[in-house]
Amino acid sequence: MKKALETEVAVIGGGVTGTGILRDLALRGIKAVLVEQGDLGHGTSTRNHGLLHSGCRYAVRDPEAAVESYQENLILKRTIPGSIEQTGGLFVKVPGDDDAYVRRWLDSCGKLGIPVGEIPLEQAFREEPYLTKEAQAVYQVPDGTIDDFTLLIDVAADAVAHGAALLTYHEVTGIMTEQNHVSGIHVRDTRNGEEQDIYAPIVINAAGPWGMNIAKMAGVPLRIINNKGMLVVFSHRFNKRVINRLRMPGDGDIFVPAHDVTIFGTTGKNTDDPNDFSLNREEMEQMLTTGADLIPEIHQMRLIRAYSGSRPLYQKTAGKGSSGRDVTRGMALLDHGERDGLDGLITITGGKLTTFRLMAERTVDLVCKKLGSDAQCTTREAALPSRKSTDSFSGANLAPAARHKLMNWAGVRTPEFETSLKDREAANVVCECEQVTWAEIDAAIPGDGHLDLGDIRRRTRLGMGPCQGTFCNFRTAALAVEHGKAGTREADCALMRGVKERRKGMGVVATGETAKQLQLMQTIYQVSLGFGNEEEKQHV
Amino acid sequence: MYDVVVIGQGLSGMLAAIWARGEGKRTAMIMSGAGKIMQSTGVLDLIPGSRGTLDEWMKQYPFHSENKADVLQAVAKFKALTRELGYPYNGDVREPVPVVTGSGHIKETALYPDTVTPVPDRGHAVVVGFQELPDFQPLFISKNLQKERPLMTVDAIRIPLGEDSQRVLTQLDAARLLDQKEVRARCLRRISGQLADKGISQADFFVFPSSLGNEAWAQTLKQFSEGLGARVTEAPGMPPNATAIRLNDRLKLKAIRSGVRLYADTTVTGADIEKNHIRSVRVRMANRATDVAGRQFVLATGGILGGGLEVTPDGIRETALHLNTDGDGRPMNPPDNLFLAGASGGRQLTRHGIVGGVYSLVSSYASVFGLRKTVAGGMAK
Repeated sequence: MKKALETEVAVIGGGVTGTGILRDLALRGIKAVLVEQGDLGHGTSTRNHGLLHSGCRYAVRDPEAAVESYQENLILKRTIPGSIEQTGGLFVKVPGDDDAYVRRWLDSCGKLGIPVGEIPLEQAFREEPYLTKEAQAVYQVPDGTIDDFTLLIDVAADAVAHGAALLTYHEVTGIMTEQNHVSGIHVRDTRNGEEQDIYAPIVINAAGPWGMNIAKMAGVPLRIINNKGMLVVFSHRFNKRVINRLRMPGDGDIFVPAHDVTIFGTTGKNTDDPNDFSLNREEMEQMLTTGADLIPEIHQMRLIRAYSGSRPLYQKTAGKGSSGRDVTRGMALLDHGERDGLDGLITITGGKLTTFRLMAERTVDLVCKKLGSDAQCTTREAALPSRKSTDSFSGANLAPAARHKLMNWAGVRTPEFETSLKDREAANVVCECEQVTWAEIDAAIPGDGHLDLGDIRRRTRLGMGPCQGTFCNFRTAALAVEHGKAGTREADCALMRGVKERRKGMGVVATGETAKQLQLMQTIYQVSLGFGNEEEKQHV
Repeated sequence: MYDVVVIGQGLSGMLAAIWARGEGKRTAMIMSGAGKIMQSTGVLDLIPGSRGTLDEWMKQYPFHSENKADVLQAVAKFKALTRELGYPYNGDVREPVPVVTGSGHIKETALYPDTVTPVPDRGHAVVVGFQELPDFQPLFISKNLQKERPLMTVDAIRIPLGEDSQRVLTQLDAARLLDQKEVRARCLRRISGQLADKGISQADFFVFPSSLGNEAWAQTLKQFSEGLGARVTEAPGMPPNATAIRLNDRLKLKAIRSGVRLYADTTVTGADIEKNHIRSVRVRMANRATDVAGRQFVLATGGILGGGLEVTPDGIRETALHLNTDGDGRPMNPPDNLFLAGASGGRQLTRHGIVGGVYSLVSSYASVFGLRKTVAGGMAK
């Protein structure tokens, strides 16, 4: 018999928007189920810069988005301290860029109340030694950085702790309607094919780049431009603060520090396919050339990988010929009852990582109105727990670097790891680049027959360092079998999938040392470990 | 002035230097880094990553079938050298054999040292892992081996190697521990204990990590095969593999002892080339730069993996002599007294990143024994 389940709100999409909505609903005591086709945040939510906007970037072109960003910036610094680094940011004017823009920009930031202050060039050069000495003016702004991986996991965990339900690897196959009202969704488990009906009087489409597919199933018109941007990761972190180029926003003008690396981007090319994560060498080279205006040594620095993700930009009218950059970065909350006569269906799209909380608040306000609830939003104040832990894991025999990482990582799970790390083998470091212990990996393996190294990576940073999983992916797959958390075939498949995915991101940046590393990975797996035949078998 | 200057200390470079010296040539070997044998498995494959016969190999690489006798002669010379080094290699390039890897999968290889035993089709195998060694997980390996060898019975056991060890070991660390007699004895006791616990009595094939002793590999092999009453093999996989390190150490020692002049931690930064003839190469050491002159030069700097070729946004660059190369990194119109050994000949020679041990040794042989013949010599002609 087909499984069925009843709830008040069904949320489609496990990115930061959907997850934020799920948490907001849960905190207001509204029953909700979130359905995600892959792993949490496999799409845009982990395929971005990880920039906590101060709003300055949009101050001239999109004051509304700018103000929202700044307000949310202040709120998030308070409420999700575990995923934010308060780096501060710089806007740098370089020769050739429009002087008039600088005046308009300063004027607008002033009017919007975003604190901007010019700093002496010598100070900027001292603090950011890689910054171009051609810089003509440098302003400091309250930008920051967001670890979107921990953010998603923590927001989702808080939602679940407050009673929400989460179904990952479930795709929506249909929207149920009764007359002019939605009544739920049909979903299918993408791994075992099992189907399920989720009855809910309210359905929220928070599917980001996949949003048009959902609208199509519901038979409502929706036009979203998927604007694909490419980003690259450098092997080390060379800037203390976020470095922005002070000009009308364009390609290749933001450098964001993220833990021990720097992320640089981005580009913007419209794509019709939400599953298009392709990478283009030429596009990247152009972006790097632009980036050299801010960081002249950019071509000498080692890149470890590239990735791409699509910004879902809402368009009121389905106009042709938009480049994507001129469409609002603001959010769009659509009540399909009012708009299209299909009551109970809501689409939330557009927006920024920085404004995810506000998007959730507005969406759930609308839900409350529809449900006749007067529950108030609490996410402006209700903070997620910090990731820091005061415990020094003294009971565990840990390498110093792994201990340091855990103390900035374990957060509320400290007691759990305190216990698991007592086992000597659990304290072994499996991923040397990111100092991930077996205890952390073990806790991230669901053990339900679906070992996925990407899912583990998003939860632990496994394989994110310069070797890109060459050593730790193999160890993880083998250890999973050893500890009875995965079957051999499952582990072999996960390994081949994981290596292929890492290779894709490395291939496009593979020059110098990264080209060498890529070859080493290929040699070790295909030749030394003899997985050559395994890969052929999987292709059959 | 040297007769032969070899650039590179991987398998190709070391063999070329040793063989050139063996021919009475005044020989220098210039080395930066550690050499890529360190990251290899120590078994010499024909076509890396796939099964293939010698005939297929000769078609894929720039050799002709009439050179088969030369290839066999090169292999015989390599085997003789390894016997002399006290680390003998077995195998026949005409009949590659199946060996088990550190993942439990089976691959074919052509030449392998005494510590590696081809994997049988049937019988009772036991994979032995060490608790401190994350790169070799016995259960995972045994299950993969079981898939590859359905007629075999495969078990796995796991023992601690140390008395009360707290650290994570590599395969090489484990090999060094097993150099100690008492560690070996303890290891055997623990294996016997585990076998008894699991009721395994008929095992005739034991699979170990690539760790069966470093210096004392022969004693380890003997003690283990006698103590277990079975055939024993190393299963090389994730580097560092002791199987390879032994070869590296012994080749290097041989080079030094036979009188090859070693320039360690020295980088070649260019060459003095006149009328397409190298007079000397410029080298940079820790505290000075100088020229090394020679009559013949062997470029054994490797491909992309070895660092002899570098991928740049504009194409592939040859890093030592700055030769012009084609799109694959193959030097175009190389100097008449330069010989290309191993992967330095261009990307078209590599499969999954490497040329394979057999190509390395044959090309080194060709570069040395081609020296006697015409200048452009070698079998690649």
